[in-house]
Amino acid sequence: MKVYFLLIISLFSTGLSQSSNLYYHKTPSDINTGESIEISQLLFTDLGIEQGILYFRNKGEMSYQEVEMRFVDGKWVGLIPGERVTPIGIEYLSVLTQFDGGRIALPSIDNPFDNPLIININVGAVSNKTKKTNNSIKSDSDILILAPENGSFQKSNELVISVSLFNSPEVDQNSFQIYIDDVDFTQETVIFGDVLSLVPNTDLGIGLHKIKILFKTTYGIPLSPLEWSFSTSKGLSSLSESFSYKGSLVRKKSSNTASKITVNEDQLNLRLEAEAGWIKGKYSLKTSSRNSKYAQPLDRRSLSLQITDYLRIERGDVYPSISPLILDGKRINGRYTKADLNYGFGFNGIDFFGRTFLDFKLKGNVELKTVSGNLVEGVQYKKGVNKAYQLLEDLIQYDNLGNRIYVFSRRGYTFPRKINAARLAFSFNNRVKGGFHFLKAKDDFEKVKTNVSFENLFSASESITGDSIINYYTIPQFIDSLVNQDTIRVKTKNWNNGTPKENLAFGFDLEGSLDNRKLLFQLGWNMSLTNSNTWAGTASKDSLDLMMDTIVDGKLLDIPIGEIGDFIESYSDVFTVHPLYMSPILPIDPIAAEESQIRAILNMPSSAYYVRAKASYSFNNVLIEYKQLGPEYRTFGNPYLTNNIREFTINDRLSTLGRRLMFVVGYRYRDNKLSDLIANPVASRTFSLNTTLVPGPGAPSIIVNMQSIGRTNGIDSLDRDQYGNYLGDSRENSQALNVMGSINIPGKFEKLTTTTSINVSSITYLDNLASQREASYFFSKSETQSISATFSTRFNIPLKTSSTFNKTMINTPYLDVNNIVSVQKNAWTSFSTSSQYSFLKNKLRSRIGIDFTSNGEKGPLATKLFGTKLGGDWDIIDKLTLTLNSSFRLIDNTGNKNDGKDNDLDGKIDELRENWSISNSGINITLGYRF
Amino acid sequence: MSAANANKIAVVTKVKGMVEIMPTGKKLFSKLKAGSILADGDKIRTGTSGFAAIIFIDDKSTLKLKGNSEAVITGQRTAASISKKINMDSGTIRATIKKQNSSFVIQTPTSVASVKGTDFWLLTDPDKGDQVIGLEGIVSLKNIDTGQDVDVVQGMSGISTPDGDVGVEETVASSIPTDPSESSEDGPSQFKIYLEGPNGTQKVMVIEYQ
Repeated sequence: MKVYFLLIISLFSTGLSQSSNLYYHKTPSDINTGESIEISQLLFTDLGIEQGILYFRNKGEMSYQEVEMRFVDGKWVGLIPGERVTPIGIEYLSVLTQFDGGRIALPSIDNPFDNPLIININVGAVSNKTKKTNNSIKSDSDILILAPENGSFQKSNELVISVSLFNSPEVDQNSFQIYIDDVDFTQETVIFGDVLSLVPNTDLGIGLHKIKILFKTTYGIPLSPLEWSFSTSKGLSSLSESFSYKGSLVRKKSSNTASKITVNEDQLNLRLEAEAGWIKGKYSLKTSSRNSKYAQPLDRRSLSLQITDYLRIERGDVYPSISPLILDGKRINGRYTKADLNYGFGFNGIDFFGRTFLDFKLKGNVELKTVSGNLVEGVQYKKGVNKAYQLLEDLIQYDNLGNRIYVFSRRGYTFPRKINAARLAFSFNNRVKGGFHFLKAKDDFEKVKTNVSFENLFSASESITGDSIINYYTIPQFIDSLVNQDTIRVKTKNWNNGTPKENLAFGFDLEGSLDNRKLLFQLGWNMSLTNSNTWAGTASKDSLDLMMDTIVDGKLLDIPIGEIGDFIESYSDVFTVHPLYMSPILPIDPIAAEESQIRAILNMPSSAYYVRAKASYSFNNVLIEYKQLGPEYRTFGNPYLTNNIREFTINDRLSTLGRRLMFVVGYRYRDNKLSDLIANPVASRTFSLNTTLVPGPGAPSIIVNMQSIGRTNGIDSLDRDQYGNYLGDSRENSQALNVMGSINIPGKFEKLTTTTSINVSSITYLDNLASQREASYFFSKSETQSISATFSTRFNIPLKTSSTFNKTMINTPYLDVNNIVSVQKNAWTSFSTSSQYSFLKNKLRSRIGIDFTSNGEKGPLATKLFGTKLGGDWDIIDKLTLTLNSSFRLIDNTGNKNDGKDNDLDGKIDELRENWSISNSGINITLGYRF
Repeated sequence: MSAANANKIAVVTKVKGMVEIMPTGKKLFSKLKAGSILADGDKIRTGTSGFAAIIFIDDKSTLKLKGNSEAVITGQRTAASISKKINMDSGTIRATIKKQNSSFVIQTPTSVASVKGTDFWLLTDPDKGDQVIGLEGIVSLKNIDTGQDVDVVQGMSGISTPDGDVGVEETVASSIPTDPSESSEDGPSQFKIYLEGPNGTQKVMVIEYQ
């Protein structure tokens, strides 16, 4: 019955609800700009999960950011930080890695990185994400910081804080909060005539200070905080006085059980920030008892130093961004430095008959970034059978005396991947920007030892042992079992658990702006070289002639092989050239070049480029972009790039009625026809329209999103054998229609405020070739309709509640035993409610919640889950908080009552309550101190 | 927006020494405080050692009034910008003007200086006339009586006299006024080292720098 239950779960399809036979996941909805998004997966697998990574990016971006997922309340949970949540929308996916190396992807498809899930963000919540340009900060909603300048020095007794709302009519000037170093100064602040002005009555003291202002729009939606900093100083004699620090120390112990697998974890988090005038340091440490030498590290350490605004040095676990097509936010254990220098110079020119010639003035900045370290940490071997050594039973050798030599290969290893990357960027007069960058990453195979633990077992079949069963040995045990003069040999390279690789990627980008940056033109071009097996080393001169062409004439394309060999040897430190393993062998496709050299250059298989224009006029934000990533373009710094595509995008974000009504209209065409050799290109055409109406404070907000995706695979004829007999129909010409609607209704009553949110969604498919199909054709797309409602309350007393109802209907076509197309209909229903109540002047906060999930079936097919959670926070003393969270979920498989099986493995069949089992349970205790 | 709010155009970010304001519609001066919000028509007056820095709220254009200056700050608000006009009777003013979508004019009894994105000092004296010292960009200096005008660029000084003469000459470095706000905002200017001798006596070495 459990299998059947999992099967039903697997019927969830794309859309608001996502599932496979291993997990259940619901895509978050009704998210406002600036809000953090929690992504959770409820697992049903019996396999242990070693690690979970959540990948996310803004819609249309090329690079994913990574966040580690945690196991909380029976679910794997990852958090997308609020500062990344913008009206553009979020694309995300997750990968859970099992202890045995297997992976579970969300969405559960072959290429989740190419087809991530999407969260639409309420564009009515105007983004206030701050942008920093040199020393000035300006928000997206055109709030202008007048004083003090970001990063400036001020005398503490002359401080004036002022912000202009002149260009921000959407900001509600009657609702704001201002904090300096987390102290509320709202009462001392005035807003008058579009100007916020504050002269603090108290001395802030010497050192760096942070200002944070919270605004709302006139229709009540909070903007992201506007934050910047400045320093107060009385001279270097006060340097010791200016020293300040803050931080936190958190210890967390947790025990979570799911599908009878328990994961215990002990975590320690330390965060320390210290600053003294012009220098600021941060140290963070995160350790986990689950950290293991057999896997990629879970522990994180980082130290960063910021020296004025010009130099930043980070060491430890760093997340540098060099370029989206090279390295963009991936974790590196090493060093990252960033130097940013402003410059300005000019020439007054030469006076000649009263006119001035050759005069000029240049201002701008030069930025240098460097990265070095390990992209991947080395692992010598793993726990388990055949995870350190594997006996190559088909490769038994014999010595001169006829004795056997058993050959072993190494397994379970991961090569440490060294990386070096740099970027030099420049800007002129804020109108022209550009930069050059490169990345080199190489697996250091010498760091993985040939001889490691002799404790690990390997398997030997009966052909080796002569026994009827597989035997397991350690290396010493196996040597002891050998007869005669038989010996063993462990291969020193060319192991069969992965080859060492090397990658070199380089490129440039340019940006030009006009009309005060309202019109932007951007261009970027990159190229890569990848070697898939550096064990082979650099190709020798003699081998080049044999490998590169069919004639052994000492020449390659009329160039003497000797010259080429000398050349590639001299650059062997830069890249290991070996025609058998490098990609591309030639940067330009010679066949394509014969027809058109320009086209051949544009379609170089290992190049990636984009051309982009952005315009911001009259409430319109228009983007036009063409990008192309060749099939052989790879960068180890951003391994999740989708290559082998060319894509054209045009979209417009239009706001009207004072940003109360917004439209995002878009069109995207994508295919993989980068070469004439692609006979059947896969193409998709996506039209999208997102509409958001936010009429005003207290009024309901409405969101309607529609997306139509047409997909073809280039095949226009039926599959037939040589005699013309019908074999099948591989043609695809489908149309997907995704519709999502959401209404959010705020309510305000005498003793409580409420928020009611209702979401509906539908995913339907149309086979455009339906009329031409054979009767036996199977169109396998699942259709989903979903409705959910959330009702939240906040009372005058310290009580908050939230209740959610969700119903998802899935129609999944399948072929029955007679190969007749049928449709499986399922309707999943879930309900959850939770509340929080505070005691002792908010020093003690308690939380309780229950949830229920049903597959909607009756009788033996019925499956129900009942969950409860309990928790709370207790501020023991000032800044010391104890947090407790616990959860428990039972599963009721009705069919287990009388299926004649021992489902709970207790030796009894169909006994009382055999239909009940624990789905998951967990308890987390956290003690945190802030200082 | 209420009518009272509609004419707010700038905010005072720094005040040193004696600085007074005569709000528009009033007839008496009162002390001006940092953080005050200025309306169209407010008159600012500085004492001998007075200094005031003013920032316009539409584009962060800045005015700095040195000692013995008197100016009326006027501005007409539109939806997108503020057309700024400074009526300067006497004194010294530094204007750092962002690129303007609307006009920016400083009018003295002698001249009219109009700019579109620049940085300059203007020294005005009803008896001697005006001097514009260009620091960046171009200032058009026009004599009111004769209508003659000159463009003043970086490194040059424009002169406009009550007699109607205008002209430009190379700026003498010593003639550029010091900016009190710059010397105070650039951070520490004194370095102290505490020394202790063998006999326990303590001394302080003070290093001053710019």
